[in-house]
Amino acid sequence: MQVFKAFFKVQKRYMIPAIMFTLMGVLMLIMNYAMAHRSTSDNGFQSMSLPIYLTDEDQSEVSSLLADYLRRTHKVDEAECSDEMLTERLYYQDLAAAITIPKGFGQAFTDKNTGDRMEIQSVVDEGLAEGHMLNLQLKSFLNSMYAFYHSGMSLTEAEAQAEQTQASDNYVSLVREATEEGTVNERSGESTSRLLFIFIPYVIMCSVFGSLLPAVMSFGESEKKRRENASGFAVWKRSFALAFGSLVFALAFCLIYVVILAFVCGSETFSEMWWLMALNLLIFTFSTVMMMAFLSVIPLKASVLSSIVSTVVSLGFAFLGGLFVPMQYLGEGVKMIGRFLPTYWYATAVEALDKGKGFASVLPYFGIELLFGLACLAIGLALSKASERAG
Amino acid sequence: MYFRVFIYRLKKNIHDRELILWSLLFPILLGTFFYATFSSIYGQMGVQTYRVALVNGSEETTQFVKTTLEGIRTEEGAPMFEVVIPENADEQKLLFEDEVAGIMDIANMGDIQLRIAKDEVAQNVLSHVVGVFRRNAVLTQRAMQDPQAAETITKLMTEEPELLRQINAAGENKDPYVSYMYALLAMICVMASNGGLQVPIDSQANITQQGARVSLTPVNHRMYELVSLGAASLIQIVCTLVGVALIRLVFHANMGCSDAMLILVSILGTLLGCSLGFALGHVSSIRKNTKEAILLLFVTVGGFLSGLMAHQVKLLVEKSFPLLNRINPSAIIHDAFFSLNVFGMGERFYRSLITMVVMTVVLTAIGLCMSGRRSYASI
Repeated sequence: MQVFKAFFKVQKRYMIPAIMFTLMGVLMLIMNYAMAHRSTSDNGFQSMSLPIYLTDEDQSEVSSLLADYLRRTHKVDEAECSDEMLTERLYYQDLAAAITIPKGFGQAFTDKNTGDRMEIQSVVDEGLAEGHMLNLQLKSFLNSMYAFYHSGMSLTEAEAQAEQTQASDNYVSLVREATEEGTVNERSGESTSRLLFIFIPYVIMCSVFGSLLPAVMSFGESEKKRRENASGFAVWKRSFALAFGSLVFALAFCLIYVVILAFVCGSETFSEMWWLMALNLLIFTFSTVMMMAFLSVIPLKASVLSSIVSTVVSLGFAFLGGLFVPMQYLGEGVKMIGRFLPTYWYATAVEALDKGKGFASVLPYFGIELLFGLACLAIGLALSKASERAG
Repeated sequence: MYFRVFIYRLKKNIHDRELILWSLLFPILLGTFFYATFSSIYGQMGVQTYRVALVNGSEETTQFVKTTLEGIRTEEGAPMFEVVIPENADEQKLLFEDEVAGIMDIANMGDIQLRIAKDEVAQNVLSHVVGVFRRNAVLTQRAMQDPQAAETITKLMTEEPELLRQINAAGENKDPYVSYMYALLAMICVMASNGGLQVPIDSQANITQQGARVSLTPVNHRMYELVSLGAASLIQIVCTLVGVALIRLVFHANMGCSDAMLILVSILGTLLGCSLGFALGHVSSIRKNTKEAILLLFVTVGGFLSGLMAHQVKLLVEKSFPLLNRINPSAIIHDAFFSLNVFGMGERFYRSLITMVVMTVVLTAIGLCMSGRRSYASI
């Protein structure tokens, strides 16, 4: 109990990094929550709704019909925005396209004999499939509307007919695959829980390595160790008290995020998927504390080690494990390396849960996360014993 | 005399193995992680050749749809679709095993049906193409019903007007994932603050033995610190340039700007980082541990806000609280690289450059104003 209490006193010195990383985590949560604008659909196929910027310089009947169609099918932003900001938003893929309907487009569209037909301008990143898809859709709609109008329909009828032929729910069916756990098919989009739970391990690692690691390492300083050896306090009791103290702190970090997530996940909170994601986070926290036991025996100055580990190792684990980048975009080589990291199995479990898989499916992933932690703990204990013998 | 101080400080900094190791290790490790993770993502997000299965069609219909689909090309001229005609009855299996993006049921050309198992870009592209087939079916039916309009309709179906012009977005390298490399370089620059922090610590008599000895020397204290800052900056600049060399020569990352500009911005960024640590180091009321924690805050939180962990964060800050991007050192350095790539050497780039220079001068001046010989009751 004495060491346990002393650990809390030492930990007070490292409260600034702890508070700092917690605040960073909360900030990341808020920002991810703001970015989580994609809707989740468990029903049939819905044509992809992309964020686009629309400028209607024409203000004609044709342009209004077209703008209305785009508003129905995509997320249209029409708020004032500078060219510089538009370029930046296109670069960061915050927009799939910036569409401009030029003045006189409606007149040229309805006039059958216009030689130089006016064109709508669509600025997209040509390196991305989304931009091409959007232009294909828009081109197909415009040509359909044009063909229907010039074959004798009114503008409104032509627009309605063009939309009708494009309405994917008339001819596209999403097929569901039957699995052992029942009928399961991949959800379209991402759940809020997935978007928010996925990066929390990074913050947990930062908090544990940035604030707990130096506190634990301070108990390994030679002067303190000599004093402890002179006392009648058993070594295993000391180690147990330190481990327990670290775990209490780490669980406190974990609890803070779980409570926040309970508030921000909306209707998904307390669902089976949410609870399993929370359990996944808890297991990861255990694993991180065990990792710390291994790192604490590395013979480097505590401040240097904690800085290196809390930035490089945490970021490395996060990127290679697929916390910041969806798994589907990771190369095979990265995935191969990632398989040796607990973050990879955490992310795999989150993605599986997001796709509607149950406890039985993710249990092996939980097990691997724990195994990784236990392996680190075993190596840490062995190294610690070896250094004690040597010293 | 000051040259000698510079040389000694340089030697002292070179012997600070932890700082050097940390400054070099960081870009090597994180650069490798970033390269491994992001180098191939953008390529995968482009238009690819999508496989599509055709079922239930007569030989003639299948051949017509196949020829039409195979005739659709991407901007680069590559075929957009590869047609598969399943021989056995279990075509659904192709869908679930990701062998095809979708199955087109062409039993009735007036009512083509599409079966998919996923809801991604490939399936959306395919659904729009099916939409065109369906539109043509409606127009054909209309032409059959109204023989007077038949000629016009046939013309409209064969000669589609150009109503949309696709324009490519600006930017030398449009890969948004290269911004992680910008954020990494910005972080390395800001981390140089640890080198700057060491300067006042080594010069203050109440903190280190060395500081006490320095206080006794007949040297202008401010000049001594300025020269020491120069030596620390030189070491940090070398470390930053190692990071730049790694990114350009080993990873061959296209940073969207010339190497000369990349080096210039990196050097100015490192000087900004050093001056940040230098100014903070002079705040005598704060303990060393707390100063280090504050710098870690600048490095980590500043890095996060400039898009080190998620590249869209910088844009989100720009949209909601742009002032933060004007004062966050990481964001300013990042923005200099970004504007070079996307806008070239224009107003925005010069704004970032001037901000860096002004901040460096102001922070160094603050540090110098707070330095100077102090008298101590007891050391």
